[in-house]
Amino acid sequence: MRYLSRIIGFFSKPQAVYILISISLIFFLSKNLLPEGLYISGHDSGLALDSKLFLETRLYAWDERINFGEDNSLLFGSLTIHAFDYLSSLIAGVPFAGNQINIFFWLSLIFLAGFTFAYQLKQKLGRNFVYIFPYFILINFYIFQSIFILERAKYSLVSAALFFLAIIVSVIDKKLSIQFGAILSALLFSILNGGSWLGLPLYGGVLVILFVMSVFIFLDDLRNKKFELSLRFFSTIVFTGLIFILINSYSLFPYLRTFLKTDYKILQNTTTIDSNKAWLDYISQGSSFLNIFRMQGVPDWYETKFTPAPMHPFSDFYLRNPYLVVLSFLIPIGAFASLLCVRNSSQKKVIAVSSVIALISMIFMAASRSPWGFIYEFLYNNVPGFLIFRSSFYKFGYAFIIASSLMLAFTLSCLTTGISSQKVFLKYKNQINAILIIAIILSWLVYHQKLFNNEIFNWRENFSTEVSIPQYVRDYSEYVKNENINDGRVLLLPKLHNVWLSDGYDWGYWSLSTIHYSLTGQTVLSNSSGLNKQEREWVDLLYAAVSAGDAQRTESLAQRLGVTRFLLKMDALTGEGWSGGENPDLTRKKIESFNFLQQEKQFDKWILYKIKSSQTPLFSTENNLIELTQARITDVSPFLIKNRAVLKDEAVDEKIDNFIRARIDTLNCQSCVIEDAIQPHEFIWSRLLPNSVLFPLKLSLENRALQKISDPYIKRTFFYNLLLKRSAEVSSMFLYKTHDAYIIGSLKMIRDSINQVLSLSRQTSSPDNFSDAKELLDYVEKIKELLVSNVSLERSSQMSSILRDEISRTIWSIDQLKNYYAPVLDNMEQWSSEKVFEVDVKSLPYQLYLDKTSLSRRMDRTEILPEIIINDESIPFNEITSDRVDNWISLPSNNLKLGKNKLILKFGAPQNILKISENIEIKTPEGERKCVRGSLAFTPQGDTLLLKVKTSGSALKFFPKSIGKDELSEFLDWNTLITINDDYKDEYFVYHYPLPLADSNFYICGEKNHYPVFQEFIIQEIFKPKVIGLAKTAQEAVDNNKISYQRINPTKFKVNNNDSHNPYILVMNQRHSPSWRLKNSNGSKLNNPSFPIDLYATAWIIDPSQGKDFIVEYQPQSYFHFGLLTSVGAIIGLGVYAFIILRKKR
Amino acid sequence: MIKILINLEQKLLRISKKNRFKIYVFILLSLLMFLSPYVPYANVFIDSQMAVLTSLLLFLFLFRISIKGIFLVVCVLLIISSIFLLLDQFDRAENLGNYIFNILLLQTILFILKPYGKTKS
Repeated sequence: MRYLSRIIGFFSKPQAVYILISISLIFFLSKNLLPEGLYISGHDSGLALDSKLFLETRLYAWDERINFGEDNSLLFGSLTIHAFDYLSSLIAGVPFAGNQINIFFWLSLIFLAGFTFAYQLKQKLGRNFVYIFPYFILINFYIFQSIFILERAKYSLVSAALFFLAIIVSVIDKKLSIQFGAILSALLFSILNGGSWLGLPLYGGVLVILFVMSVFIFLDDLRNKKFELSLRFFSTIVFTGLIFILINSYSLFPYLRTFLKTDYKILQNTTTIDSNKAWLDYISQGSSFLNIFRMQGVPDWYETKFTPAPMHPFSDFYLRNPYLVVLSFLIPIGAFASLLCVRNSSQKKVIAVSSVIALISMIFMAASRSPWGFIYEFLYNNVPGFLIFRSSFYKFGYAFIIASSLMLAFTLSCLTTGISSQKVFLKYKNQINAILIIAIILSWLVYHQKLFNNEIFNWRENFSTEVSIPQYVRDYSEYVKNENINDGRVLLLPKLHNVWLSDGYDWGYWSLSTIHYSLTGQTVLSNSSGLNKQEREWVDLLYAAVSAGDAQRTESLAQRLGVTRFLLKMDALTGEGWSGGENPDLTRKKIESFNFLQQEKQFDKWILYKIKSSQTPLFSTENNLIELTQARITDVSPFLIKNRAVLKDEAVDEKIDNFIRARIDTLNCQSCVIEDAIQPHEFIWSRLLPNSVLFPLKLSLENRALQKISDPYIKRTFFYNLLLKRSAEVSSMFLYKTHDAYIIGSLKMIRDSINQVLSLSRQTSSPDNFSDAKELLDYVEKIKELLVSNVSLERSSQMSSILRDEISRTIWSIDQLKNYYAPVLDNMEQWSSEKVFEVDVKSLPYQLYLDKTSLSRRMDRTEILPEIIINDESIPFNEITSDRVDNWISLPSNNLKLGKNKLILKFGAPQNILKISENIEIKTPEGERKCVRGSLAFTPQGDTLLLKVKTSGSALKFFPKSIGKDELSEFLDWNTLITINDDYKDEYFVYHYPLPLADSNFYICGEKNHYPVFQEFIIQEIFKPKVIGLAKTAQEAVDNNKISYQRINPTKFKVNNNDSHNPYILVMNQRHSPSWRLKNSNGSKLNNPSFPIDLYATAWIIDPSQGKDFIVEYQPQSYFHFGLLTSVGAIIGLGVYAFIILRKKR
Repeated sequence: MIKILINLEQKLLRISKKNRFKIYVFILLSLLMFLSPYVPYANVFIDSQMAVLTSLLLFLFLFRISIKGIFLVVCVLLIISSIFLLLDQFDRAENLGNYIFNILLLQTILFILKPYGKTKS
């Protein structure tokens, strides 16, 4: 009570009442937003459904629960936020982190931080300011936009920034010592730390505030020729930084290794704005200055630049309501009116700093948008690490909100003080003041009324993060906890949506990570977003086996991937809805037919199945390996059933050769590249043309760059790019009708570059090199097109004969260059029926296999088998007598020699797979059209179709349309339409058309209202046969090892192999990371390097002399322990230091 | 009414006479700025928005416009942009918003540069 009365005594009575009422209002708001029985969950909020368990997982550097395990060392910093989650769930009496108490805590914290900051400025900005500012900082669109996921990381930094500013003001005003200020600030940022190192970009706002304050304080001191304030300010910042590092050692030490090994390189690698253009366009689509001024511009509000997102719960209300639009303009007027309200120098300093912070943070919030976007672009393109601020609106936004709220609150504070100080009201000054403040706060709340409705949790139609957790989900969680199920992985069924990879349920939960991440301590496997490429291939294979009802393959893959249980969820979203996965009913039918499974328990809509004969899945041994030459699993999986695979480039241990029994070469179809559409490199518009006085400078820069290149391949690419540059200049000069002399000069330079490319091609590439020939086409076809169009236009009659000759000469040079690749380019048609492979045989016997499913088919859907030509000799081949491995058929391989061989698969001429069925009349945006409708004879291979059309005097329109109810009614969207001009009578119109949906119909329409007429309309399949070579290198060895293991914690295991007599491979079925270390039983480190096995798991080669007992440990965990000791030591030391300071003061 | 107009005209004349050199300098420099986007090499550095910004800067410094004056201009522009928004002329409103930002930037710079005690409006 004594402390309470001391705290209350610290504030005046009205302030204490104000705080009590405001906190009560926030409490009722929290209750209103989150009624009893509803909790915030999903949408990657990190709000755990079992907050205690989730907090425990944050104590380990490895999270084994997600698929094949994931590094967690980056996330130690989130311990504080998840500790708040757990505490709130304890108080609320529920296991869920997204409870009322949690929402109340964070909103109150922001409010109190705002109040503390305002209270420190009371002397400068007036008494009324203290009451108004906290409401502005709490109730605004920036804060409430993310309340649907209770974004604690952001809220923590907003609060920390406000508390920190309050401390800095106190230090500058000498109310607080530098040391004490630094200790408080560092503690503050350590507790309210933005989540983890992942939250580092959220410090963007703090950086802007500090930068502006530093400049102001320094310049002010420079003017006064006293540097006391600067010294105080910078000392506080430096000490805060140092103490912050000490206190955060527990999260910094484990992450440092990851940072130095990978993240540092990523940060060093400055990227260009173009690589993230799509994201930046999205994030800044609403962040125009006009919107930011009005405290709007949140990216989620907009569907396009000016259209409100239809699924947003309230953006339409604020963007379309004319009264609210007009009212919103009072915010910038009020904020910048503060510049007129200042009455003394201290007010002026605060308002000037705030105004600059507001304007600078606006520049960053608007990101790459004009007119100030060049600053952001420059920093993005040139400053290493700046790319972490790619979601700039959110990262810098709170600096603007703080500054703008301060200015607005100050203006209103001046206004209210002015009104209440009028002689008329002098008698009731305090009452008038109170009434005006209440009126302002009420008006602010009424304006933001839409934020107080629990609709703000709806982030999409029928989707909300405010959910009622079904009892069966809780029952399942309890069952897993009570039965202590942690032997092996649980495969989640049905399969998640292939593109969204999201876990969604018909009761409203939706997230990109599976629900189990926040629900149980169990390891689950699904096709969720955390998988890497190879892991995904394995998981997809397992799902495909389930889907096909192949029990044997499902069991074998499940055992291999460490799966011991299947969990079928009948409440999962299905393909009928948005982001829905596979149908659970169909999946149920399949798995209930599997004899190797038995139902373990049913939890209403969740059914748990167990594999009857499950083994210890996490550790095993291996003696026989298959070497792969390409990091692809799916294609060669039938060959990997018995043995594990290794990619030799990744196996750092030389002893690996002793375990390799076979090698699989994935052969590339070299000629197939020619069938792809030519992808012309675009001309880049050039500002400096040859007629500019600065042009020689451009040439000299190019020469300097050229001199630095020694590699002939890179040199050739450089000359190709020079060709493009010069051609772009020529194109511009044609357009601007520049003097012929300049164009001729450029054409000569183009020919020089062509000659250089030709001579370099002779050095580096053979004439039958398909990929180099394709590269040539990609570069020169557009240049040739430009020159041909100019020489054949009317303008050619007006151009000088010298220029015409020069153009012709350049076209001839291009043809000469193409001639070098004549064996490939002379008859390009043939490569659609002849597929060329290079087979590099390193050891014999060597067997070729052809994937039958990758072949083209006849109209009766039977595969077309090729004629086999090896080293120019045709080899007889009979499919019936050839061996098979699943869908792979063996090809005659006896003629293969050691070294390089040429394999040609010769198919018949490609056929037209379009079947035209009927004439039809349709309604289009251009009126009634008469068309013919057809479909494909079968679903073709690949992702592109080849269109070859000969017209018959009139133009055609062509487009596919997915078969469905609205196939005929909706022809408004003609995105997929192409027009074929009428001038393709004698030659083919050739077009690579992206393969539409499998169930599409194809429409060919006449341009006017008559049925289309054409000579030929051909659609050909573009297919790439898959061929592999299998070389058996050694006899398989018998594996006699018997292994047992004990799990200490997710980062430490004890392994025993009593039967080892020969070297063997120890396999740990967790994602490979070099940080997994092997130690012997007494804890000393063994130097056996780990390598990925099966392209994802971790393995070591072990010699029996190294012992029988081992410890497998994830190294960052020991760094965490060391860091934790340092942190605890630092906190104790600082506590003692602070205690001494306080005692001395007393 | 006519009297008011006459007074206004005389007032304008007085101001114009008093500031004639400044007006000439402003017109000349502004013309130069507005022509810059069309001049080879100069257009590499100056686009039309930059020309408007520089001319504004010139105007504010040459005629020593008070912070209050600038604020009034901002208010008028904000009102106009609100009208554009209501009329669904989003691009125009946005462009105006960009100019308002630039003016506010100038206002802040002027505010900082003015010595203490002279900011009373």
